[in-house]
Amino acid sequence: MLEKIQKMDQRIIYLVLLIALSFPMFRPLGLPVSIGQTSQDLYDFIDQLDPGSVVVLSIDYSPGAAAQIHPQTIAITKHLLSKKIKIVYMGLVQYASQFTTDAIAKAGDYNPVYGQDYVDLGFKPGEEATVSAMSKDIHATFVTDSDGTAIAELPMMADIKTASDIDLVIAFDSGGTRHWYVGQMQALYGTPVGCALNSVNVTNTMPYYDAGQVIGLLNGLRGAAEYEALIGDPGEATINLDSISSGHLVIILFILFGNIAYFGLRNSNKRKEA
Amino acid sequence: MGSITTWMAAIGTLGLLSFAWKDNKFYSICEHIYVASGAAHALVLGVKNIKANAIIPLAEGKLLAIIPIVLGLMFYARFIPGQMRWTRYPIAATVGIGFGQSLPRLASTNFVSQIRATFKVWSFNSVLVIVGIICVILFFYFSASKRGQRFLQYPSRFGRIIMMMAFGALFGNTVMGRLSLMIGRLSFLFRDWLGIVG
Repeated sequence: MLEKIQKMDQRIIYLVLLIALSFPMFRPLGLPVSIGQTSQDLYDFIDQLDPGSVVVLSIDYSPGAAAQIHPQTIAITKHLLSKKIKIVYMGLVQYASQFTTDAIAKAGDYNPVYGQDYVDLGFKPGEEATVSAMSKDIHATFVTDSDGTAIAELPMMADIKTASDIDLVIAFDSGGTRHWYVGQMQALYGTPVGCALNSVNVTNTMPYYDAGQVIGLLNGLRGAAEYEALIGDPGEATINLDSISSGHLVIILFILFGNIAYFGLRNSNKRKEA
Repeated sequence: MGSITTWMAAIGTLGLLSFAWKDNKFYSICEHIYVASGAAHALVLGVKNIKANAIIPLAEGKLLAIIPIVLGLMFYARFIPGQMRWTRYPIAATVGIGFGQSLPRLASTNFVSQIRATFKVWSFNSVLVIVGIICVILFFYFSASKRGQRFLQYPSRFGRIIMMMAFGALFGNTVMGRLSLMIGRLSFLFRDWLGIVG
């Protein structure tokens, strides 16, 4: 029996996991969403901003990470628009504008006016050099927006020229762009930085949060669900959270069975050798 | 049942997921299409970037744009037999600029600020962090044998436990991330493609 568990066909594991992830989509379990401190801090910071404040959303994820980060973008966009905060979308990864368009479309009935309530500066290559340059002069770094309109012609951008004019930057990051914002904007200009991350990047970002270099962060799909709960607008992430919980349960059980089989088999082999 | 793009995405998703069962032709076709479309997308964006950041500024009379253009072109010297040496200059410029830009940041954000924050609040957590750092550093101290020297052996062992806990947290977050990706695809298949869940 123990040997069978050890040598179990991995496709059985995939199948069980598939069922565990799919089942809650058909029959939601309705598990409660508890709010983590990192999500709460990010929400609180945005919530205390005055109408007319400027928040830069750096859309730095690829389609591969969209399942985790895009619901975060939509939830934060909704919160910012509801508070009448001006949003500057930009990206250090090439897919920025596609995600920006989708987030605005899914943000609800706030009807933001382009150029007054939000702008989309699009993708800019250059990585850390771009962050450094835009901190000094946004207009010289992003000469045009994603559609080729000169940003000098966008009314909202008239007063947004350097990092000092920005009240918060949020890096929606599946790679490493948050390090550049913390290093080039937070450290040099004191601009507050928040993070919205895929889960794998959370562990190595926690030291920034603990040190106060990052004001708050969202952890993957769970973080998105927490933010949806905080703004009182349950969306895609909340619906999918039950699937995560049941998937975790199955993985914990597999780890448990795997270890029981491993140690049980090792002990019985030792007994045989003795 | 969605538009033609939804169908394409659904067939691609099923094709790539079919690898979990075993390697097959359907998977190979989807994989090749994925790689080809990714390369084409990157090529189009690359051309767009060259136009926006090099050609247009040059056409507007910003002659300084010649410097990065020439440096960029020098990268291609590697394809000319005997002219490989010209690639050293743009590489040197790239490394120099990158190093100069990131070094002060690394020192400030990853070192000085972290140390300052560790000593700022004296709580159980900050004591644990300090003890953990010292013990992990001792784990990687190889200049003396740890065997028989308890003042090195025990902290080093504690350092290993601390690292295991960090790896556990990293693995846990990775599992959650991978499940989220799978949920994203399942959600797309059931909601957007088949429309069988609300």
